[in-house]
Amino acid sequence: MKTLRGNALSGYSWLMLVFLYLPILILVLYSFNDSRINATWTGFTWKWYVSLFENRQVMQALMNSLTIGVISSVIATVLGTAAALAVKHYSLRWSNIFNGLMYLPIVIPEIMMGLAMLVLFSQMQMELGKVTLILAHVTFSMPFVMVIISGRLADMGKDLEEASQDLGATPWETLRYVTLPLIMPGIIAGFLMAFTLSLDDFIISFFVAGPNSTTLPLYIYGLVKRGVSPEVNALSTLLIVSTVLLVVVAEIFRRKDSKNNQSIL
Amino acid sequence: MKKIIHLDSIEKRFADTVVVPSFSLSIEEGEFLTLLGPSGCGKTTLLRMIAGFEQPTTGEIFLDEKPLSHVPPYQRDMNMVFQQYALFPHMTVEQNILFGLKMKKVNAAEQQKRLEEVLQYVQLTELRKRTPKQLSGGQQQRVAIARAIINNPRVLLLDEPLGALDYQLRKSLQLELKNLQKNLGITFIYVTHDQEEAMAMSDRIAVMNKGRIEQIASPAEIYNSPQTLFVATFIGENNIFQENGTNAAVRPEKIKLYPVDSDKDKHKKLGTIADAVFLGNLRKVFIRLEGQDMTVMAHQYAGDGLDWQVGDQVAIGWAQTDEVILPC
Repeated sequence: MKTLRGNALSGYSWLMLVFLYLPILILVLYSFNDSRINATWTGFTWKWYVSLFENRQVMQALMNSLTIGVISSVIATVLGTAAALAVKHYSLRWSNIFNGLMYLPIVIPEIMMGLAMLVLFSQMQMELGKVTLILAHVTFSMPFVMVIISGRLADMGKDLEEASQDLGATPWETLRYVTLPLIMPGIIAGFLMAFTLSLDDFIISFFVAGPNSTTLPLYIYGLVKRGVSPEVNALSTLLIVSTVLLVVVAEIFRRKDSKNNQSIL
Repeated sequence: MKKIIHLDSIEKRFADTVVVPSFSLSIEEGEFLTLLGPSGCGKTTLLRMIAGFEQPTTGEIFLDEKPLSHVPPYQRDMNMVFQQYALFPHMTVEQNILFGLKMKKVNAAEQQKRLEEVLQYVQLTELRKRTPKQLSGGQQQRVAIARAIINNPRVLLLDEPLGALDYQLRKSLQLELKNLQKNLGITFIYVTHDQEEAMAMSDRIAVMNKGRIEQIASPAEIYNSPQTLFVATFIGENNIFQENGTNAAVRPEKIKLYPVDSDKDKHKKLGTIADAVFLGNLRKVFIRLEGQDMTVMAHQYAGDGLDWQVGDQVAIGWAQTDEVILPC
């Protein structure tokens, strides 16, 4: 009985994994398919990847995505870190209220966020383009940065900052020599998370992008309207791989940070 | 003796709860003062007010007769040794110890000179390039002390600095700390809940209960002449006899046991041996008093020739001078 149940459970787990990853696996597989038609497998090839890198529109979209990603995640990291540091000094009641308001954008449907921002930008008569994209990306990635850094600050406790002050460091010196170095892994993890979110975002970008600011996800969506080509598969594969890599690196930084902390405090 | 710290009508409230009711206290230069009390008695809050991490709700704290209420912690000429040491994990032993001098912009040559001295003093010279993680608890404790004393503070505040260490290490570090204090001549304000530690190290002990200082005196005076019931029972072991609206406290080592048929003039109470616990150098004998709901504890030393058994009838007595009368 026991083994039967064990088998059923492990079978179920495998089924779940297949369910989750089969579509992605097929997409990756067909990006290496020699045939232009997705349905049949005719042999292994790199040619779709090669043609991708020769495609100027793709390269332009990639450049847009990277520029917007880097700028928006730098801004989101700075603002998110500052917000996390500020909230720590509030009384419990105010920090709860402030945290709630900060985290709300995480659960608001993205389509609402996109729409709201589109309305705001057109009210302010801002031309849609890279600037509006960057502003929008900062808005949705900053809360994530703040969550990560707040967690790190909470782990750190107040002892180290008090010790620093006790030894004669002003609040600024304490921030510079003690707090920032200690939360740096969290800051890096937050930055990578913000960058990943920016790179992947479609819905909000769809609302606030302009004609000359097509990002990779928007470009893929545009291609798909003309049928799924092997180039789309190749491009999507690259996007998936880089996202996974970024998330893994971010996670390594986030863990490194909490492990350090546990062994010393 | 010169006053170094004076607390003038200090009171601390959190929201509507009074944590430390109003009181005043003077601390003398070069003394080892211990704040002793059970956890939650306000001793750490008091220490944190002196360090500047908490503000007293009313009252003023003076250091060398200068009021401190508008002086932030980083400008107070005192240093604290934290309970969990609070060493900076991203710095080496050396960087940790030098942090205070760096912040005070002491010149590099002076920094190095003081560093060598202090490292020598706490015997950490070989471990100077390690990070705190690579040190044992006792070594971390030394770094915490070195990091504080390198600044030559007027006052050193210690918040249960030995609390996280095991018993043997604690014992040897007690003596080291006491010697350190004598040699450096720095005023120590030491917080602990361990009465043995307080007894072994302090010049004066302030016994705290529910935020109030119950008594402040030398260890011997605290032990021999407690002024309140709390002090009498919190420090060491004691027997409290309630008679005619007063409490009489008699230490177990002052209680003498007699067979019921001898020395009748010295008998004060009669009872039965309820239990006897062998502790090596002495036996703790518990006597159930006749007609009273009370158990008395007496210490019996080896070699008095009386081998009490559980169930024996016994008479107890003590000298009038060993009795401490306490207010109810």
